[in-house]
Amino acid sequence: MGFLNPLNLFYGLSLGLLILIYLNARSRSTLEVSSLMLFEEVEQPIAKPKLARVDLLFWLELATLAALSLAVAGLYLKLHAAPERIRRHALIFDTAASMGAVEGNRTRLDQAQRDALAIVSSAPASDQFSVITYAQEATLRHAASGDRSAIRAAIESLAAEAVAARPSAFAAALMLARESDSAELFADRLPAGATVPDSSHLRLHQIGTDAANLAIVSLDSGVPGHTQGRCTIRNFSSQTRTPELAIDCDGHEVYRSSVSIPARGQVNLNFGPLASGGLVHARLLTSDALEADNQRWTYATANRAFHVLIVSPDAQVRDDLARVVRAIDPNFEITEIDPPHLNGLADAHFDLALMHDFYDPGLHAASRLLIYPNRPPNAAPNRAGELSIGKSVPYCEMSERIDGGILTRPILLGAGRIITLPIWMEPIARGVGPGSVTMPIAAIGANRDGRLGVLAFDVRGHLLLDPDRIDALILTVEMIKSLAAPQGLYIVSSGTYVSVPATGRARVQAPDGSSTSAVADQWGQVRVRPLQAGRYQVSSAGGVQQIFANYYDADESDLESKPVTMHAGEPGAGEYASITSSSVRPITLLLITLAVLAFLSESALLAGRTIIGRRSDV
Amino acid sequence: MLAKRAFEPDFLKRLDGLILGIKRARTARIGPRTLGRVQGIGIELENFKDYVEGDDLRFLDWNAVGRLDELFIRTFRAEREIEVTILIDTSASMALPAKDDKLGLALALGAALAYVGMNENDAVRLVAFGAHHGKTGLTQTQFHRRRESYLGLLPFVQKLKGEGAASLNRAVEQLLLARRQPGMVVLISDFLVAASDYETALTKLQAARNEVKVLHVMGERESTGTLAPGFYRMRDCESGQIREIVLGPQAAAACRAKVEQISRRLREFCAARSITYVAAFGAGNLDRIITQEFPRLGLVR
Repeated sequence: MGFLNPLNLFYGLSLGLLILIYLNARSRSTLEVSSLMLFEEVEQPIAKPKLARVDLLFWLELATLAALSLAVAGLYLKLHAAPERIRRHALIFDTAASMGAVEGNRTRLDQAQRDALAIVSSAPASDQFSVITYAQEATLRHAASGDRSAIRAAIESLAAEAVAARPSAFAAALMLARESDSAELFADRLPAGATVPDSSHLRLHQIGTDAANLAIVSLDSGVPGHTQGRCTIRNFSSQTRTPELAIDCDGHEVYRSSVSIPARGQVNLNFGPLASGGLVHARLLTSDALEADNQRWTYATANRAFHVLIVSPDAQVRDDLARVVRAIDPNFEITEIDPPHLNGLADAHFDLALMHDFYDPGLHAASRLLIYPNRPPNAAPNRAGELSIGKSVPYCEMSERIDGGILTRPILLGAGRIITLPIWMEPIARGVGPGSVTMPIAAIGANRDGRLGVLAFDVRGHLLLDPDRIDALILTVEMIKSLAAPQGLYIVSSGTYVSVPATGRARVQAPDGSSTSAVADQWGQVRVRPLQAGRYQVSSAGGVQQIFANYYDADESDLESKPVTMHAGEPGAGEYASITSSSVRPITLLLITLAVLAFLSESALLAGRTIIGRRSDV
Repeated sequence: MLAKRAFEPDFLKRLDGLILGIKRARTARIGPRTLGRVQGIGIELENFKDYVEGDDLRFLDWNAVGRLDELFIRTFRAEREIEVTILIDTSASMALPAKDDKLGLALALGAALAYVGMNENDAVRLVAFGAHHGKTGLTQTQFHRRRESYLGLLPFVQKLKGEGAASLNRAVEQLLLARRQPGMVVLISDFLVAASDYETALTKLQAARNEVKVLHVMGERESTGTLAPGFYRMRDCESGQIREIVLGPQAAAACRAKVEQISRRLREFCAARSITYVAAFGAGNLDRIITQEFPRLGLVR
């Protein structure tokens, strides 16, 4: 309903004038008389007249004036046409870590869920909704459906994940919603680098306000007995904060201290050296908006003999790798060897074997790291489920860390080999080769032969010692540390897939206490993807495996609210009732008809009264 | 104001032929002596007439018999001295409805009667009762005996306004306190008071051997109940009492019936006590009342 000429509502003042006239006429004027004695016989009014009890003529005049005023103002009705087809709405939720930030007594995701439920409730019954989430990847939580209870259940079951939102996941979520007539995006921000299509059907519901947060950026255990450990804490709030940090090693507290961190600053805390190796757990005891980044795990190598074999045809590479390994732990016993001389170590057993430009599946090692892998010409053909090594490329570029690790910018790495990962290996970094061919840069996994890591790029030419390509060194060190970790212990970044050995049916218990079951595959692996920060436990007949998921992302942990400008879409929450197609239909003719009828009724009433009056006079 | 009309020459000319209808003349000589035009017993020769059988031989003019040998009877002017008090109600009720000019009618009638009385050299005074300058009580003129002094009543008439509450009984009590000789009292009022009030007042006047005349004055709208229809908060001008009344045809009929009831009761009371009652309803009827109603009811002859 609306008015074509709202200014003409000015004529509606005539109603007020009529009412004033009426009230004046109805007002009880005081009449002074010579004596009330003369009116003793006059009957007292049965009921005192009330202002609301008015003459029918008044109502007719009022109706006439009102109808004419509305007609002049161009009153129209917006008639909702019957929906020609079922309208589909996509509800897209950001479930990245920052949506788990607590504001007041609920999280940002709780607020988003409430807004979405309001939209679902206000929509016409014929509309359908789909529920889509994105963080590391996009997921269709519920396909388009008119079943409101199922949609509500899908919305209410959402939980924030301790991972950062990826632009690719965001783009994928929009792709999933492309069939919908409208898309409602519930997010506190857009992923860094995300591009928003100029789509009129997308509407952003930005959630959240500024919130203070502290995060453990990194944790280095140091070398037990030799070097200090280091913990980096960052303050994302706009005020100086003084958090309390506690560090445990194998359950024993080794460090506890409070430190003042300036606004949006960062401090490094040194601790140790640790007396012995073990699982190192750092945690912020001061609560803040986001809990996921308040703890972190790492592993300090134990004071036991750890034999590392470095195999490479290039002496420089062997030397570089030995430096890196020794930097990780000077207690490691390192053996460097050229591949042609490997026969002399046929019966030796190593804890970790680093193989550069070489691959010998028969080498006895608990863990193996293949660098720029190369299958020897006399090697047996690949079996099903084994790593497949393809052709060499003159250069490759590391463009993305999949495991949540830090990659400041794409790095040109030099020569590389295209590898095809078996299903039990998880990619850690991705890159592109010549012709923009996407290729895995780093991957890790485990099978019955032990742990296996692979770096697809060549490290010749002191690549690992090049300060401009330090991300390659970091990736290598992290790979070696993961492979050097004890059996049954996995320290990973949240959101990465971890394949752990299991037998038969395994039970996976998450940090929040929930548990799921999984069945080991044909390689005796259970694939777990920790989406919460904390300790996962995989129990099966084959034993217990522990996964510690670390979470940190500089963008996600920064909970400062930044307004996002997007193309204004169609109406969103609360306005779905009016989203259906409608037509404007003026009702001027109807109003004039009503006015004429009221006028005729008034005339008839007056004529009737006149006739009755004449008869009574006679 | 209608009262002024009572002082207009053409109006007074109509009154010249009228005489107050006094039932009994008194011969007691108290106060200044006046001459009346009514023949009767007196000491001042009026005329001669032929003797007819039955005439009082004491008035036979013996000198004429001796000189002319015819019988003539001497006639004399009657000796009359009567005080006429015209008691006019000037309470607030007489001023309402304003368009009716009820007070003007009352004053015009009173002044006219005063003129008629003064024409006969009667001692006439106007007495008003009501509130004057905030004080209730009587306001009166001195006695006027000659019509030449009639215009002296005009200032008194002009200054009268309808104010205050009326109590006929109290006014009569104050009037009788002066203990003057009995005379004629003409009471002009709308009689919108309790019946007991005016009945007591009239009884007291009669008890003081006054000849009492009653002029019941009502306004035209008031007597017919012709007020604009509508819902009114009505206020009694004298008591201040308020009542909400819806005026319409039925209310007008009820009002007319009430006026008729008051008038009938007053008329019956007067008739039972030989009090002349004249209903003077409507200021527009002034001439008709004086020239037709007064003579018809014996107030004047």
